[in-house]
This record gives sequence, structure tokens and C-alpha cells, in this order.
Amino acid sequence: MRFRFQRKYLCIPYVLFLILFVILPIFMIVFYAFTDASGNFTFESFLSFFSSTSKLNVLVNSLMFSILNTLICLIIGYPLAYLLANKKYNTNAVLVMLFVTPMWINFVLRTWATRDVLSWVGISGGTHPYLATIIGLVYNYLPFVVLPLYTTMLKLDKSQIEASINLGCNRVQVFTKSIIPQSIPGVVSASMMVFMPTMSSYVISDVLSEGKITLFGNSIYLSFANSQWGQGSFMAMLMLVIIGISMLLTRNFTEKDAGREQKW
Amino acid sequence: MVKKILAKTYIFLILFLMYVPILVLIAYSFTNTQQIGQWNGIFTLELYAKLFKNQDIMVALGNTVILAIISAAVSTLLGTLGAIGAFYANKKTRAAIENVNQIPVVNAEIVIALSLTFVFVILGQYIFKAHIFSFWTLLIGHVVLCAPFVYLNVKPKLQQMDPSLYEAALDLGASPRSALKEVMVPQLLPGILSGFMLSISLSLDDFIVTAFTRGPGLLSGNESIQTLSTYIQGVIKKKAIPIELRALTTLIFIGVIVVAVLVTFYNGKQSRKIKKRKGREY
Amino acid sequence: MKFNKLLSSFVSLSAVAFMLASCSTGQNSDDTVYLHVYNWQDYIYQFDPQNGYESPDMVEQFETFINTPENKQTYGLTKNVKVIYDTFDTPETMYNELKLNKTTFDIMCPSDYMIQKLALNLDGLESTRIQKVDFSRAPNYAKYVSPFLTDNLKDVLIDDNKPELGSLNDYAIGYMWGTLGLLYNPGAKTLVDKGYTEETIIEDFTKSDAWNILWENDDYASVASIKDSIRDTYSMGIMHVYNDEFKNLQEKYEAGKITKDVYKKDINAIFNRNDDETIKKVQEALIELKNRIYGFEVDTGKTDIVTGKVGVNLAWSGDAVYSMDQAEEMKQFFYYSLPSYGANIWFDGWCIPESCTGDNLSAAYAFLDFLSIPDNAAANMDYIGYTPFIAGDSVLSQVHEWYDSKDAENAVPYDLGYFFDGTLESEESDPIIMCEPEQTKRQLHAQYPEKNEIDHLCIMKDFGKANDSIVTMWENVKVNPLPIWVTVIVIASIVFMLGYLGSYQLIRKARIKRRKKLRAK
Repeated sequence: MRFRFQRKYLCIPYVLFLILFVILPIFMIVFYAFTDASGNFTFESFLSFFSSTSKLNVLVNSLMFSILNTLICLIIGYPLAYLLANKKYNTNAVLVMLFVTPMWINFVLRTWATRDVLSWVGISGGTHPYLATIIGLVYNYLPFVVLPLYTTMLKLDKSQIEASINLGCNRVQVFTKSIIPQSIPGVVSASMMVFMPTMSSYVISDVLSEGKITLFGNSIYLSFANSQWGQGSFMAMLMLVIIGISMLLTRNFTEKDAGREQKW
Repeated sequence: MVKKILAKTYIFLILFLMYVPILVLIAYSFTNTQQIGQWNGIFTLELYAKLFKNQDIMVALGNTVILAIISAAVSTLLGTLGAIGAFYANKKTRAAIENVNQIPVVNAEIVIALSLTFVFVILGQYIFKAHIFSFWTLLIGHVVLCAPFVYLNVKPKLQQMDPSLYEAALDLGASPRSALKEVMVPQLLPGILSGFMLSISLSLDDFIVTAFTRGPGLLSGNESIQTLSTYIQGVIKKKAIPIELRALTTLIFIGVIVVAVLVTFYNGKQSRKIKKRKGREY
Repeated sequence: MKFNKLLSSFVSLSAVAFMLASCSTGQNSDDTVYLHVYNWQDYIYQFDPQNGYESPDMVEQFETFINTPENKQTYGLTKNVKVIYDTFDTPETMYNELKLNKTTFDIMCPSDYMIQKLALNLDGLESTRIQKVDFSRAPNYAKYVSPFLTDNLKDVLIDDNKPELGSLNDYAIGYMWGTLGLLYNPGAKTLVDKGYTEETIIEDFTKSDAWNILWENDDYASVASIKDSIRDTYSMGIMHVYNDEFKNLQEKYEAGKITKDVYKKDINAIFNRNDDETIKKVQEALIELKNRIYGFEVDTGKTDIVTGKVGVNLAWSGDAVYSMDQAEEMKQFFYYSLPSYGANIWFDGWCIPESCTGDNLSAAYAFLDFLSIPDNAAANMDYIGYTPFIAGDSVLSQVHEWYDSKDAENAVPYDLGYFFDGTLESEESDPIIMCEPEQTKRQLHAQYPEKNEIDHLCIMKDFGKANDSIVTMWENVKVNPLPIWVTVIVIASIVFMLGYLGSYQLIRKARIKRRKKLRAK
């Protein structure tokens, strides 16, 4: 039987790569989360995490910042993406790239520059740590929201919108009943791309709040820096669980599962 | 009309706010004052000269660029092949691949970095019996970060592609390999390119994964590879952030703008070509 | 066609990368020994002609020095030495690299507590063990190191319960040292606006119990930033919490009721307390402080105080000197204070892992000995800005050059005899610096504490078994408890979202099932 080339075999190198360097590391993390220094199975990290009010507080803090950040980025980014994608308002495609290019400037330099600028304005971490942190987070993650929303907005079915206008909807109804439902997959993927990284970011909050606000990523980093690998791994595993849950729940909101199975 | 003005104002306002810190850095790159915020009235290109003479920064920059290009190339290759393959696989496989693919996208960088380090340490201890941290481990770390994004960029293009083109090519006598090359890849090229660009931008900035997975190699010779981010993190412990970096920011910014303009023109030309081919103008 | 091109360029790129990656494995060959050095970044003299540093890199100078037949013989080498110089950003990173066994190093330069941790080796790992130093193989160090510092090091036992393990002095060849004190700007705009004069500020900060100042004075606290580092802030907390004990001990010592040895032993003991009671008290003190200060920083403090973001900074002496120099260029004058009830003295020192043997070990000693030549130590001091362990004529003459006052009439004597005595060879070397009166509180003071302050300096040891509790304490300090209503809202909204999405999924599944059932009928 000659080997029949099928396109689906093309994914084998990638699958191997994923297994080796994405799945295997997860097992390592779980291993470290549930073993102590001498390699015995233990629930110690689990217990110490959930019994520590400060760690739980950090978790709640991070959740709060993530939710706030996602909401604000969506509020600012959604109209932005709509306007950018709409030929009526913007015919210049370079403008979109300009929103994404700040990502190319080195992150550390950008954050320190933001800190300086905010101090000039008076919103320094010393006096308004929460405000400064949120501004920094939104500033950093806005491009992550604009890009997916922009691609979704480009693919809006114009005929459906026209049809809804023809059938008598007023402006608000067109927006809520036609545009928003169509853009939901984009909104969901944009939120995922902002929510999770915000949970794990720590540099921005550290720099902009002058160290007063501790987020989850900071906790993980602190544990590993102080050789508490068990604790750090457990918290990392917790993050993976949160990711897993959110992926599970938002599964059906994203792009309809499209693919073409090999017929032959 | 009014709406158009409002729209433009909104867009440009947000754009301006996003660029304020960068513009500040650029403005201060033309003077030689030590601290941002103290304007000593001197306008000079001194920092640019200093930048090119600073051996450490140049080495770190070289490493960063080389690493970015190579890791982007590898990620693009892997990600594209993965996307094509998954598209044509059965439902369960595709779902599995996509779920695993999502993990590095949303996972915390420090978790990725640490878990990879553990894996490499175990591999080094038990399989290779040597210190395996080098350029290769660093490359793998960056590819783990970037390849899923390439996958996510190529997938929509696959969905938009005309499904019968490939089969038509096979019917006309092409071998599977040339059908892929000549027919599919050009259709997917915009997605592949945007994936490539995204990989480069992710790799340029990365600190944590680099710090954990690096080893000797590249331009650093026998010493651990220093990228721009690790260099900055290291040097600020004992001294202030080198002011030559402001000049670097300006140069990167100019380069990025140029690339952005070129890419958008290329995309624009592509879409116009496609429209012409279809023979209809909407 | 395109694909071929891509493929071939990829192959050639990877070939280049492969070549670059495996340039040299750093393993000793028949004629070269590779000395793997692991140090802080920017912590050694480097060639920088733009800023006036004309000599080649210290590392290069060493290679030129060592690769001559006589020097090779002195240090027992037969092969040529080539240095591989790697850097880390914090001792914790260094420790993790060692623990993970990512690479083997021949010498490393961590901070004092890390050296103690490595020597104690509670983890029991092979890769993190260090060996005792053989001073006979580093004669320059033995000759020129300041006896004051080695005495201090000898007082710090690796394990108080196991004196046979030795002291810090047995395991380290000191490199740079300094103190942890309060850097302040008497001309800080915010303070001036609030009515403080320069004299008041200077007076407040030079009091013996100035460690309490940030707790007692809200104005100072609101412009102060402290270290985002467990150890340094913990030491500040201890100084505040046990202020009275320190005060009593000092009074007894000054009245002659207790000897110097007893005094030093006692204050070191208080300084290094880490029992649960102490941790709790320090935690409360720090939480109280946290709400009043400007913030925590690690790297930005030295520039923040210059740009005016803060007016007071808990600073390491090297950083303080840097800030003072920078500020002077802008005609601002900062001061450095070491409250006399007690302060922390720290040092960075070279230690040698157990895995370093044979040729590598000889090369290691040669390198360390080379660094201990006073001329080289002076060059390092000049470039880095920190104060070296090495005394000797060259270092002293450099100090004279920097700090001797041009104005002879108003100059005051600053006695550095405690540091330089025993290492000076030249007749003309005079350990007393006639400096400007301000310098007794500024850069010179930061680089070398005053003679009457040296007895109050304590070394902070590794926390050992109390590490976990102290890390927990730190987490408790740094966390910011949200008001209850915020927590409730956050948790409620998450539960709501989970419920909504979860039920959506379940309903969807039920619908699909029902549809399938209907179709099957």
C-alpha cells in the first residue's frame, strides 16, 4: 500500500511539538505542585494556598483588575474597531497598524516612560496606585483588543445590516440586534486575549503602583525567586485551571467549528 | 459629516494617548540629559553615536533580532503546517489541537518559562546527560510562545479559501506538494505574513521566557545569550537605565512605521489584485 | 518556486544558527582552561573611552596578565586561561540557575546571605555546594584586604549551632561592600513647600533613632520610597520595632559597661531575630508604614530621587553614591544617613562551587588574586562606584584624590584608619582624609562609614528555616486587602458569569439531545 499523501498529515510536526513542549511541561507543573522538596506526594501547597488570606486576596485583586481591564479595553476598543473597519469613517489601512505598533517598542522602556508621563500629570503610583495601574494596563492591552475586533468588524455581513435597516429598525436596534450578535465571537476572543494575560502580568502593576499592588503573577514570581517551587507551581496550576474553565465555557461563542474533513 | 468628524477625533485621540510615552522617549532621545523630565536645553544626536559604540547593547540587539527572525520563521512554518493539517483532520483531532494550541496563548509567561525549564532540566539530566541550555532551548521557548499565534492567524484564511482549488490542481496533474506550494500557500499568504509579523513582535519583547531558557550561543559566544530585555533588566540593578536606549527606541519606532506602511500597501495591492481578477467592482 | 526559496533560506539560516550556537562548548581543551565567571551585571571595570575609561576590560587585562609563563607558574597553571563572563540580575536568579544545574560556574559573586545559604546547603543539592577558600592561593587578597572587613566576616557563623562549619570568612573572597541607609534630599520641593528647612531635615535624619522617622513623620513618609526586597525592608522593620533595645545597648556600650565584643554580638543577635513573635511585630510595623510611604522600588529609587519623584529613599550605599553624583551635576545635594543605633552592612563576595577543581580552580584563584591588586580594585571602584574590600595605597590615594578638600581651612578630618590600617605600605599614605565638612554626611560617608559608626553595623544572615514564615509575612505586607464590598462584587460577578455560561452550555447540550431524539423518531 503506497503511502498516500493526505493534507492532514501536515500537522504531525506541530502536534509532536505541542506534545513535547506544551503538554509535557504542564505535567511537570502539576508534578511540582503536588510534591514537596523530597518528591513525596503532598497536598501541602494546596492547603497553604487556600488557607492564606493574603494569597486569596491577591487572587481576588487580580481578578478585579482583569475584569476591569477587559471591560475598559472593550469599551474603548469596540467603537474604535468599528470605526476603523467602516469604510465610511476610515479609508486608511495604515491607521490600524499604527494601533498595534506600540507593541514593538520594548515593553520595559514603554512602561517606564508611561510611569514618567503619569507622574508629570500627577497620577503617580504614590498617590493613586489603582488608577495608575489601570491606566497602564489598558494602555498596554488595548492593541490586543483592537486587532481581533477589527478583523471581526471587517467580516460583518453588510447585507444583513442593510436588511435590518430596510425592515425598519432604528439605529439603536440595528446596533443591538444585528451588529453586536455578529461580533460576539470577536468580542469573546478579544476578552480571552486580555483577561488571562492581565491575570498573570506583574511588571505593569509593580512599576506603576510603586510596588503597592501585588497581582497573581507577582506572587508566582516571588515564590519561585524564594525557592518555594511547590507553592509557585501550585499557583501556576491554578492559573491553568482557570484558563481551562474559561475556555470550556466560551467554547461555543467563538467561530463556528469550520474545517473540511478529508473525503479521500 | 459631523459623525465623520467625531469618528476621526475619537480615533486620533486614542492614537495620540497611546503614543504619548513613546513620543516622550523619542523627544528625549535628542538631548543628552540623564533624566527624563529635566530639560537642559541641549539638542544633540549624541545618544545615537553612543548607542552604536556601546558594545553590550549592540550584541544584545543583534541577538534579539536574529532570535526574532529565526523563531518567527520556525513558528510560521510549524504553525502553518499545523493549521493546514488540522483543517483537514477529523473533528476530534482538530478540537484537541485547537484546545492545546490555545494554552500558550492565554497562559502566563512565567508558567510557560518555568515549565519549559523543568522539562529541559529533566531532559538534560536523564536523556542527554549534558547541559543542554543553549540557543536551541531559547529558540524552542520562543517558538512555543509564537507558533500558536501563527496557527490562529492562518486558520481564518483557511476557512475563507476556496476549497476546490486544491482538488482542481490535483485534477490538472499537479503533485500534492506543488499543489500546496503553488495553490494553497499563495491563498494563505496574508495570514502567514501576519502570523510572521506577530511572532516577531512577540519575540522581540519577551523577557521571562528568554531569561529562563537561555544558554550560551549566538553573538554572545560562550556567554549566556543576552537579548535587549535581559540586558536592560540586568543593567538597572546597579546603574540607571542606559540613556542610549532612547535613541534605540526612536530607531525601532521609525523602522516599525516603515514596515507597517509597507505591509499595509502590500495588503492593499493584494486585495485590489483579487478584485480585478474577479472582474467585478462592488 | 517560492517554497524552494523559503526552504533553502531556512536551511541556510539554521546552519548559521547551528554554527553560532555551538561555537565553543566552553569545555577545557588541551591548551585552554575556560574560567566561567558569574557576576552581577556592570559590576567590573569595562573599557569605556567615552566616559574616560581608557584601559581595556578588566577581564581582558587579566587574560593578558595570566597568560605569561611566570604568572602561570605562580598560580600552578600550565594551560592558557580564557574567561567566560556571565551575569545575573539577582542572587535569587543565580541560585535558581545553580539549583536547576543549567550551567556550571567556576566563581560567582552573590551577596552575603546567599553565600551563607550556599555554605549551609540546607537543600542538600550537589550543584549548590561551595568550597572553603584557601587564602594561601590568593596572596594579594590576604595582604591587601581590609582587616576590619575580615574581622566582621569572621563574626558571622554559617550555622550558630554548628561552629565547626566555620564563618563567612572561610567561604568568600570579598569583592564590594556597603551599607544600607537613608538617602535624603534636604532640598526636596515637597518638603520645602511644607515649611521644612534644610537644616531641620538634615538634623532629623542624623539623629540616632532616624530609623523611626518614617513612622513618626508623615511628611517624610509621603515622599519616601523603600526597597521592594524582603531582606532590606525587614531589617528596617527590625530597627524600628526594637529601637529601645538598640538604644539601651548603645548607651551601655558608650558608658563602658559592656565590651565591644559583647556589644557587637548582642546587636547582631537582635538584628537577626526571626522568631514568630518578631515576624509578627515587624509585619504590623511594615503594614502601617506601607500606607504612608510613596512606594516600593528596587531599581528605580536611585533615579527617582534625582528626578524628584521621591525625597527620601532607603538606599544601598553604592546606589546612594550614584544618586548623589547625578544630583550634583544638577546642583542638588543629597545626604546619606546611617542612624547610629544600628545599620546593615552588606557585602558581595566571590565564592567557589565544589565542582570547581584542578585547572579551573587555579585559574579561579588567579582571577581573584588579580582583582585584589589595589590598582585593579581602585579601577573597579572608579568604574562601578561601589567600595571594594581591598585597601592598600592605590585605593587610599584614589580616595584622597576624590575627597580631599581644596579648601584647607574648613576641611575636617575623616579617619579611615579603621579600614586601611595594616595594609598600607607607603610611608606617605595617610588614612585621614581632610574633606569638606559636608562630605562627612555625603558621598564619602556613604562609601566609608565614620569611625564611630562602624561598631553599630550588623550583617544580616540568611533566614534559614524561618524563610517561609518571612516570605509569608512579606506577602501579607504587600497585599492590599480590598474593601469587603469590592470582594463581594468581584466574586458575585464571577459566579454569575460562570453560572450564565455554564447553564448556557447545559441548555445547549439538552437542546441538541432533544433535537437528536426528535429526529430519530
